[in-house]
Amino acid sequence: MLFFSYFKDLVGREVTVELKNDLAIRGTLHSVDQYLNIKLENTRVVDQDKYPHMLSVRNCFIRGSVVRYVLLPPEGVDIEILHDATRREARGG
Amino acid sequence: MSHYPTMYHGMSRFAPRDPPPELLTTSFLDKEVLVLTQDGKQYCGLLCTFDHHGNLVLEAAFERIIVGDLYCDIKLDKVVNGFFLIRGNEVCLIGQMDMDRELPQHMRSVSEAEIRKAQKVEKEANDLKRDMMKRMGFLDFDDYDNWSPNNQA
Repeated sequence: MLFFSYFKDLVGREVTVELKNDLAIRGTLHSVDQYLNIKLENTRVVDQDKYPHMLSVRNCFIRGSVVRYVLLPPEGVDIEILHDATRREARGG
Repeated sequence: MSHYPTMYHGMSRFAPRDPPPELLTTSFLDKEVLVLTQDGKQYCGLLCTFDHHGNLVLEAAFERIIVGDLYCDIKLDKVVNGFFLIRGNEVCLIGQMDMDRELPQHMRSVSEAEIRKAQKVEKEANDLKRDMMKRMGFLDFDDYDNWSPNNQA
Protein backbone atom coordinates (compact mmCIF):
# COMPACT_ATOMS: atom_id res chain seq x y z
CA MET A 1 0.00 0.00 0.00
CA LEU A 2 3.02 2.27 0.35
CA PHE A 3 3.25 3.10 -3.33
CA PHE A 4 -0.49 3.52 -3.64
CA SER A 5 -0.45 6.16 -0.89
CA TYR A 6 2.69 7.63 -2.36
CA PHE A 7 1.15 8.06 -5.79
CA LYS A 8 -1.99 9.50 -4.24
CA ASP A 9 0.21 12.24 -2.79
CA LEU A 10 1.60 12.95 -6.23
CA VAL A 11 -1.84 13.67 -7.73
CA GLY A 12 -1.83 16.96 -9.60
CA ARG A 13 1.86 16.85 -10.40
CA GLU A 14 3.50 16.42 -13.76
CA VAL A 15 4.92 12.94 -14.34
CA THR A 16 6.29 10.96 -17.27
CA VAL A 17 5.14 7.38 -17.61
CA GLU A 18 7.10 5.00 -19.77
CA LEU A 19 5.29 1.88 -20.91
CA LYS A 20 6.71 -1.53 -21.70
CA ASN A 21 6.12 -0.86 -25.41
CA ASP A 22 8.56 2.12 -25.15
CA LEU A 23 5.80 4.71 -25.44
CA ALA A 24 6.58 7.57 -23.03
CA ILE A 25 3.74 9.86 -22.02
CA ARG A 26 4.00 13.06 -20.04
CA GLY A 27 0.98 14.46 -18.26
CA THR A 28 -0.62 15.62 -15.04
CA LEU A 29 -1.38 12.76 -12.67
CA HIS A 30 -5.15 12.79 -12.25
CA SER A 31 -5.70 9.67 -10.19
CA VAL A 32 -4.33 6.29 -9.32
CA ASP A 33 -5.90 3.10 -7.96
CA GLN A 34 -4.80 0.07 -5.96
CA TYR A 35 -3.43 -1.71 -9.05
CA LEU A 36 -1.36 1.40 -9.78
CA ASN A 37 -3.43 2.01 -12.87
CA ILE A 38 -2.74 5.62 -13.72
CA LYS A 39 -4.93 8.30 -15.21
CA LEU A 40 -3.17 11.25 -16.82
CA GLU A 41 -4.56 14.55 -18.05
CA ASN A 42 -3.18 17.00 -20.62
CA THR A 43 -1.02 14.26 -21.99
CA ARG A 44 1.60 14.56 -24.66
CA VAL A 45 3.74 11.84 -26.06
CA VAL A 46 7.47 12.42 -25.71
CA ASP A 47 8.28 11.13 -29.20
CA GLN A 48 5.29 12.57 -31.06
CA ASP A 49 6.56 11.82 -34.59
CA LYS A 50 6.85 8.14 -33.85
CA TYR A 51 3.36 7.84 -32.40
CA PRO A 52 1.06 10.03 -34.55
CA HIS A 53 -2.06 8.21 -33.38
CA MET A 54 -1.63 9.62 -29.89
CA LEU A 55 -2.05 13.21 -31.10
CA SER A 56 -5.79 13.18 -30.50
CA VAL A 57 -5.50 11.83 -26.97
CA ARG A 58 -5.65 14.41 -24.16
CA ASN A 59 -6.67 12.26 -21.20
CA CYS A 60 -5.68 8.67 -20.84
CA PHE A 61 -5.92 5.67 -18.59
CA ILE A 62 -2.85 3.44 -18.36
CA ARG A 63 -3.09 -0.11 -17.10
CA GLY A 64 -0.72 -0.56 -14.18
CA SER A 65 0.72 -3.81 -15.49
CA VAL A 66 2.16 -2.19 -18.64
CA VAL A 67 4.05 0.58 -16.86
CA ARG A 68 7.83 0.26 -16.93
CA TYR A 69 8.87 3.52 -15.26
CA VAL A 70 7.27 6.56 -13.74
CA LEU A 71 9.54 9.60 -13.81
CA LEU A 72 8.71 11.74 -10.80
CA PRO A 73 9.07 15.47 -10.25
CA PRO A 74 11.97 16.13 -7.84
CA GLU A 75 9.85 18.47 -5.71
CA GLY A 76 7.30 15.69 -5.19
CA VAL A 77 9.79 13.37 -3.52
CA ASP A 78 10.52 13.70 0.18
CA ILE A 79 13.14 11.13 1.11
CA GLU A 80 12.55 11.47 4.87
CA ILE A 81 8.85 10.68 4.62
CA LEU A 82 9.61 7.75 2.30
CA HIS A 83 12.17 6.35 4.73
CA ASP A 84 9.71 6.54 7.61
CA ALA A 85 6.93 4.97 5.57
CA THR A 86 9.24 2.15 4.48
CA ARG A 87 10.25 1.40 8.07
CA ARG A 88 6.64 1.44 9.18
CA GLU A 89 5.69 -0.91 6.33
CA ALA A 90 8.59 -3.25 7.18
CA ARG A 91 7.42 -3.42 10.79
CA GLY A 92 4.04 -4.44 9.48
CA GLY A 93 2.18 -1.43 10.80
CA MET B 1 -32.30 1.11 -29.56
CA SER B 2 -34.25 3.70 -27.57
CA HIS B 3 -36.66 1.21 -26.02
CA TYR B 4 -34.07 0.28 -23.44
CA PRO B 5 -34.43 2.16 -20.17
CA THR B 6 -31.62 4.58 -19.45
CA MET B 7 -29.92 3.67 -16.20
CA TYR B 8 -28.02 6.87 -15.68
CA HIS B 9 -28.84 10.24 -17.04
CA GLY B 10 -26.05 11.37 -19.33
CA MET B 11 -24.27 8.05 -19.03
CA SER B 12 -24.30 5.00 -21.20
CA ARG B 13 -27.16 2.62 -20.61
CA PHE B 14 -24.42 0.02 -20.41
CA ALA B 15 -22.93 1.71 -17.37
CA PRO B 16 -22.28 -0.73 -14.56
CA ARG B 17 -24.80 -0.26 -11.78
CA ASP B 18 -22.14 0.58 -9.26
CA PRO B 19 -18.75 1.14 -10.85
CA PRO B 20 -15.98 0.10 -8.46
CA PRO B 21 -14.32 3.25 -7.16
CA GLU B 22 -10.86 1.98 -7.99
CA LEU B 23 -11.61 2.03 -11.70
CA LEU B 24 -10.68 5.26 -13.33
CA THR B 25 -12.38 4.73 -16.66
CA THR B 26 -15.89 5.85 -15.65
CA SER B 27 -15.40 9.28 -17.16
CA PHE B 28 -14.67 7.68 -20.56
CA LEU B 29 -18.09 5.98 -20.74
CA ASP B 30 -20.00 6.84 -23.90
CA LYS B 31 -16.97 8.75 -25.20
CA GLU B 32 -14.87 8.12 -28.27
CA VAL B 33 -11.77 6.26 -27.07
CA LEU B 34 -8.57 4.87 -28.49
CA VAL B 35 -7.43 1.56 -27.01
CA LEU B 36 -3.87 0.36 -27.42
CA THR B 37 -3.47 -3.36 -26.87
CA GLN B 38 -0.45 -5.32 -25.72
CA ASP B 39 0.15 -6.68 -29.22
CA GLY B 40 0.54 -3.15 -30.56
CA LYS B 41 -2.85 -2.81 -32.26
CA GLN B 42 -5.12 0.19 -31.93
CA TYR B 43 -8.88 0.18 -31.74
CA CYS B 44 -11.22 3.17 -31.72
CA GLY B 45 -14.87 3.26 -30.75
CA LEU B 46 -17.43 4.38 -28.22
CA LEU B 47 -16.77 2.92 -24.78
CA CYS B 48 -19.99 1.12 -23.85
CA THR B 49 -19.04 -0.62 -20.68
CA PHE B 50 -16.25 -2.13 -18.65
CA ASP B 51 -15.92 -4.33 -15.60
CA HIS B 52 -13.50 -4.64 -12.71
CA HIS B 53 -11.16 -6.86 -14.76
CA GLY B 54 -10.79 -4.01 -17.21
CA ASN B 55 -12.64 -5.87 -19.98
CA LEU B 56 -14.07 -3.29 -22.37
CA VAL B 57 -16.90 -3.24 -24.87
CA LEU B 58 -16.58 -0.77 -27.72
CA GLU B 59 -19.43 0.25 -30.01
CA ALA B 60 -18.91 1.13 -33.68
CA ALA B 61 -15.34 -0.07 -33.27
CA PHE B 62 -12.69 0.03 -35.94
CA GLU B 63 -9.05 -0.94 -36.02
CA ARG B 64 -6.61 1.73 -37.12
CA ILE B 65 -3.43 0.62 -38.83
CA ILE B 66 -0.64 3.15 -39.32
CA VAL B 67 2.40 2.53 -41.48
CA GLY B 68 4.64 5.56 -41.97
CA ASP B 69 2.43 8.33 -43.36
CA LEU B 70 -0.36 5.98 -44.40
CA TYR B 71 -3.28 4.91 -42.31
CA CYS B 72 -6.39 2.80 -42.70
CA ASP B 73 -9.48 2.43 -40.54
CA ILE B 74 -10.82 -1.08 -40.81
CA LYS B 75 -14.41 -1.42 -39.70
CA LEU B 76 -15.07 -4.43 -37.53
CA ASP B 77 -18.43 -5.03 -39.19
CA LYS B 78 -18.11 -8.78 -38.99
CA VAL B 79 -19.46 -8.31 -35.49
CA VAL B 80 -22.97 -6.92 -35.09
CA ASN B 81 -23.02 -3.12 -35.19
CA GLY B 82 -19.29 -3.11 -34.50
CA PHE B 83 -19.73 -4.20 -30.88
CA PHE B 84 -16.37 -5.43 -29.81
CA LEU B 85 -15.08 -6.80 -26.53
CA ILE B 86 -11.45 -6.44 -25.55
CA ARG B 87 -10.17 -8.65 -22.77
CA GLY B 88 -8.84 -6.65 -19.86
CA ASN B 89 -5.39 -8.18 -19.70
CA GLU B 90 -4.76 -7.25 -23.35
CA VAL B 91 -5.43 -3.56 -22.73
CA CYS B 92 -2.41 -1.32 -22.54
CA LEU B 93 -3.84 2.18 -22.62
CA ILE B 94 -7.23 3.84 -23.02
CA GLY B 95 -7.18 7.38 -24.33
CA GLN B 96 -10.08 9.76 -24.73
CA MET B 97 -10.05 11.02 -28.30
CA ASP B 98 -10.35 14.71 -29.00
CA MET B 99 -12.07 14.86 -32.37
CA ASP B 100 -10.69 18.34 -33.18
CA ARG B 101 -7.19 16.98 -33.09
CA GLU B 102 -7.13 14.00 -35.39
CA LEU B 103 -4.10 12.58 -37.15
CA PRO B 104 -1.46 14.97 -38.56
CA GLN B 105 -2.31 16.66 -41.89
CA HIS B 106 0.32 14.87 -43.94
CA MET B 107 -1.09 11.44 -43.20
CA ARG B 108 -3.09 9.83 -45.96
CA SER B 109 -5.96 7.38 -45.77
CA VAL B 110 -5.54 4.32 -47.98
CA SER B 111 -7.46 1.13 -48.68
CA GLU B 112 -7.09 -2.01 -46.61
CA ALA B 113 -5.21 -3.80 -49.42
CA GLU B 114 -2.70 -0.96 -49.64
CA ILE B 115 -2.10 -0.79 -45.89
CA ARG B 116 -1.61 -4.57 -45.72
CA LYS B 117 0.98 -4.27 -48.49
CA ALA B 118 2.75 -1.40 -46.71
CA GLN B 119 2.67 -3.43 -43.48
CA LYS B 120 4.30 -6.37 -45.25
CA VAL B 121 7.01 -4.19 -46.78
CA GLU B 122 7.73 -2.60 -43.39
CA LYS B 123 7.91 -6.00 -41.72
CA GLU B 124 10.32 -7.30 -44.36
CA ALA B 125 12.53 -4.22 -43.97
CA ASN B 126 12.58 -4.69 -40.19
CA ASP B 127 13.37 -8.39 -40.52
CA LEU B 128 16.23 -7.61 -42.89
CA LYS B 129 17.59 -4.97 -40.53
CA ARG B 130 17.42 -7.35 -37.57
CA ASP B 131 19.11 -10.07 -39.59
CA MET B 132 21.93 -7.69 -40.60
CA MET B 133 22.39 -6.57 -37.01
CA LYS B 134 22.61 -10.18 -35.90
CA ARG B 135 25.21 -11.07 -38.51
CA MET B 136 27.29 -8.03 -37.66
CA GLY B 137 26.83 -8.35 -33.95
CA PHE B 138 30.55 -7.88 -33.38
CA LEU B 139 30.25 -4.23 -34.46
CA ASP B 140 29.13 -1.75 -31.88
CA PHE B 141 26.40 0.07 -33.74
CA ASP B 142 26.11 2.92 -31.27
CA ASP B 143 29.69 3.86 -32.04
CA TYR B 144 29.29 3.03 -35.68
CA ASP B 145 26.58 5.68 -36.10
CA ASN B 146 28.80 8.38 -34.62
CA TRP B 147 31.86 7.33 -36.53
CA SER B 148 33.34 9.88 -38.88
CA PRO B 149 36.79 10.18 -40.48
CA ASN B 150 37.54 13.34 -38.47
CA ASN B 151 36.48 11.87 -35.19
CA GLN B 152 38.58 8.77 -34.64
CA ALA B 153 39.42 7.92 -31.12
